Amino acid sequence: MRKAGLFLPLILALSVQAADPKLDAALAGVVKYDYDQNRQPLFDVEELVRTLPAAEVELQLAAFLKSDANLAAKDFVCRQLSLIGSEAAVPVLESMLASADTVEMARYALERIPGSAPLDALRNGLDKAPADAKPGIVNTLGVRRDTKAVAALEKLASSSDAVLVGSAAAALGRIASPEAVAALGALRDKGVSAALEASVIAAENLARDGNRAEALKLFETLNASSSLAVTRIGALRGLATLSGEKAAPQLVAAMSDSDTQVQAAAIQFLQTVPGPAITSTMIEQLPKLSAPGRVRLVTALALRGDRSAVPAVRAALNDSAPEVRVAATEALAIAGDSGSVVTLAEIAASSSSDEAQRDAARIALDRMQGEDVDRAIVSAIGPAVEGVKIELVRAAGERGIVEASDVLLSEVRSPQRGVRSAAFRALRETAGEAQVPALLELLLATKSAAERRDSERALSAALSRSPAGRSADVVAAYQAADTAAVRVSLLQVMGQSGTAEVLPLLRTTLSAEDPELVRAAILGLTEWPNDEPLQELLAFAGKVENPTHQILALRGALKLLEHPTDRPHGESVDVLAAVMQLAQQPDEKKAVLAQLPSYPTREALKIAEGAVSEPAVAEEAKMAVRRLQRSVR
Amino acid sequence: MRSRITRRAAAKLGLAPLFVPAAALGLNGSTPASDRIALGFVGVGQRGVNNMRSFLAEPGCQVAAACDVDQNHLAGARDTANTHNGNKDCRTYHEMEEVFARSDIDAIVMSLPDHWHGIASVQALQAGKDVFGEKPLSHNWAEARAIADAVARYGRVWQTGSWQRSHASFRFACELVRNGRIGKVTRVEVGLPGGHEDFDGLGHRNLPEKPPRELDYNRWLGPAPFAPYAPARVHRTWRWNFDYGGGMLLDWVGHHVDIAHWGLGMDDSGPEEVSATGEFSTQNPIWNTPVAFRVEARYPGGAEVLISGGHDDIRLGAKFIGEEGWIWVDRAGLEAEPKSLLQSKIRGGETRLYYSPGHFRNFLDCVKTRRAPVAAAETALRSATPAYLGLISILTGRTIRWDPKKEKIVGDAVAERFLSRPMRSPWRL
Repeated sequence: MRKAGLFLPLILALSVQAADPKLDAALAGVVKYDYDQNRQPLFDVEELVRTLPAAEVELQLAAFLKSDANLAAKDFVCRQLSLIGSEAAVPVLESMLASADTVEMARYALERIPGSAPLDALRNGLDKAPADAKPGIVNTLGVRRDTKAVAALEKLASSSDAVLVGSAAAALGRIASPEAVAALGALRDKGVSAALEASVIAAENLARDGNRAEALKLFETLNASSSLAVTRIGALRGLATLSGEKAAPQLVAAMSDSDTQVQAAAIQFLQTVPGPAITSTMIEQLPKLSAPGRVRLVTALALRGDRSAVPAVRAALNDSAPEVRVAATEALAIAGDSGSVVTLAEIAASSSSDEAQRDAARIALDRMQGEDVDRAIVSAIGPAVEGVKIELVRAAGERGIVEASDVLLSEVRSPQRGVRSAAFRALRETAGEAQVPALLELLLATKSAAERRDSERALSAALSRSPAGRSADVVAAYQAADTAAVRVSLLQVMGQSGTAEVLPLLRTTLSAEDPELVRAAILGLTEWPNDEPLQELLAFAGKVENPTHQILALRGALKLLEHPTDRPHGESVDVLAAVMQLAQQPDEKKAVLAQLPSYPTREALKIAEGAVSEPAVAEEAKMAVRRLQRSVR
Repeated sequence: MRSRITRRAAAKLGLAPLFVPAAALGLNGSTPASDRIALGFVGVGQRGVNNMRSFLAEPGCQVAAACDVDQNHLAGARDTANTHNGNKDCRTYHEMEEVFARSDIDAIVMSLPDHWHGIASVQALQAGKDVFGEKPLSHNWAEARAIADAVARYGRVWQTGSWQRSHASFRFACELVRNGRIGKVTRVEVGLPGGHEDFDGLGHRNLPEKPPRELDYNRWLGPAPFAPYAPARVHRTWRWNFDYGGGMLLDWVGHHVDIAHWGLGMDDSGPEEVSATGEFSTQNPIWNTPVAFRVEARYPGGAEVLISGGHDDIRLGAKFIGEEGWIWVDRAGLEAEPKSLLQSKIRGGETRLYYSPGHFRNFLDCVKTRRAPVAAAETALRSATPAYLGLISILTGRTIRWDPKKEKIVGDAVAERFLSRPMRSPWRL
């Protein structure tokens, strides 16, 4: 711990004219502050610094720095000055630059205080400062872009101290005045490598300052003369940003550079230069590159947003290198159009494509933008062969193409099982009111349990997108149905559709004689899209004798409890208490214990604690207790 | 007679790279060891090792180096890598500059305290490395801007650890918002955690101590102002001190505020006005960041973003509120009103957002293709800006006006001083 000498409180007040007594008192509380102490006295000073007039505060803070307060206290006060200080605080800060104990804290403040006085102080302090602190002062002069420091910095950049050389060159790059740029040129001529990177920064700063011509000149010099890849890349980027299309010759030349990083960067920068001429130039380079280069170029072409690049990207789907084929397929997800649809579906369906390319093709089919892509998918489904058709049908579902629903309805009658199954799945995502009658008809007609299940799900989805009242057809069909299997299926549809008119039927079916129908009604209510049937299921679980039905009802109640709701925690805990009491098997009790921490109340904690003594659920109970104890406390 | 030197022996002698960098070879995901993307891990504490495990689960990459100023961290990371690889190829380093200098390393995975992000990232980018860096982008706005500039200048690939962008539910929520499913967005409520979590139970050890032998504390401090060592100051809980982090606000801004920006389409813009309040605790002499905060940000177009931490009224996650409904998204899932929104599909003619197959995979793929990853540096800078400005508002007690095009504070010279911080000698960007 570092401490300074004795505390001399009165000096502070006496040395400041018109000192604010509150701040004076607060500062007195800080004098002996050290890093291990409570920060309340610091807060008191900070509050006053925020609220009192800055000019007045500044003088008191500056006077504090002349005292023999602890170094931690002075560090704190310097931080305050860095925020509100002006040139008035500079003399005392400058005097601190010569001491190893205080040079850093003083510099932090000087770096942030506006005006020329802090810069004069830093320049003056450079010679007197301890050696370790000099790079810091140089860095600050760079951050502040002090044009008067150029001569001193140029001298330091030619010294034998590598750290100082780096700092000084970097500072010259930041300053980027004509003198600084000239100094950097001289340093480059002397072979000072730090000057190369600094020169790139200098060129950027010239451009930012509005001196575009000088910036271009410097970028061109660096691109032409430097053998360092990083410098050339920085220069090429500057040329691309400032010159656009005019930089194309340099960028194209760099595409054949022996350094792969320069090559990759040139492609990336060309991508940002707009215009079909550049696109053509890039396409011309494609065959000349190695496979990794083609990967980069194909991606860059896709990212240009120029439709004239799409055929070249599509052609790369047949590249000899597998990684290029994958990159081209992925690129079509970004740039692909309606003309890419069938090709992508063929790749996705082909057993000769590698897995990565097949996956990429599916993602591209799902994510290519444009309504024309949707139309192309719909019109390609009919004529396609089985494997390709399955991919197109899948994509129609993933994209939610409503207009594909009628085509999909015809495909559910396909002789090929794979197509039928894919079409049913897709209809779950697209079908609406218009498809309800046909899907209901399919469900009633099929003899296959698997297809009944498929049509059941598609019908449920279609109903959920239909206006209220559309489920009346399903209720009527249920009442007319002559097989239990169909009735069970329709009950599932009613539950999943969640339309108000079917709820009474599901409720009354809980008292049906046929256990399969009761089971279906429980499952239907479990699927309900909100918690409306929760109490119904709970009450049913309390009185039913069939143990399977009771388990299903309890699980249903727990599932419905998870729906978002405004229900108070206490009511949710009451439900969980009831389920806990009724449950005969550990699984349902574990499910209760898993949900309890979501309702952090004392009652919930009590339920969990009560279960700790049951060996079958003790671990889950202990976990719930731990979580609840944290949150209830 | 000419002696034969194997590539590995040559590497040990400093004559040849141990790995051939993937940039120099053909690239694909299932290739020989010499063709994999070689990764150097800088900062291998808990987060660094977690990141290492995530990368090791991906095909097409290998861990070539681990670097840390804490020898205990380093040993754990080396063992993790070598056990996975079944060899001893992962070399260890004390100074990151040595890792950056290795020509056989393609990319750096950086999991350092925030106060190191700016320097380490710019150095790595300048050395020609692609970087996976943790969120927030950096400790303060100026250093974050320097990182984004360096990524552009050197044409490098940068992925920020804002992994929620690679998660389907977050992407879907943002696509729904961007396509007007909830109408014009008027407000986004972002709930973040509050407090100072004492991760390793070392918060009480906040008085100056002698640094442990395994830790190079001076290097750990790096560009931050001098302060004596204490366990509560360093590993993991550094984030509760302004010299190294920015509390929960800066720690989490790269997640839920990042999602708010994605949904609002603010990846190249930002707030125009930020007003914030914070509550502080004096209990721990080191932990000086706010334990509770509320940041109100007004965006171009009129949307408001309320960021709240340590208060109960805003639920964790991001809730987009529009004139025709709302969507809430968090790691726990998605909710919406009307609920039917969650069943809707993004149509062909609508806006699709960047598809990432997985955050680590996306980075590795982009190293090969040179496409910008889903959480690019410029994006991360914009996402973190509300926190940088929010903290400035808390510290100055003033409303901050911000020009998101020029990226300048408007009419407040004092507030402007907080956008950057001086660095301890000899450190610089």
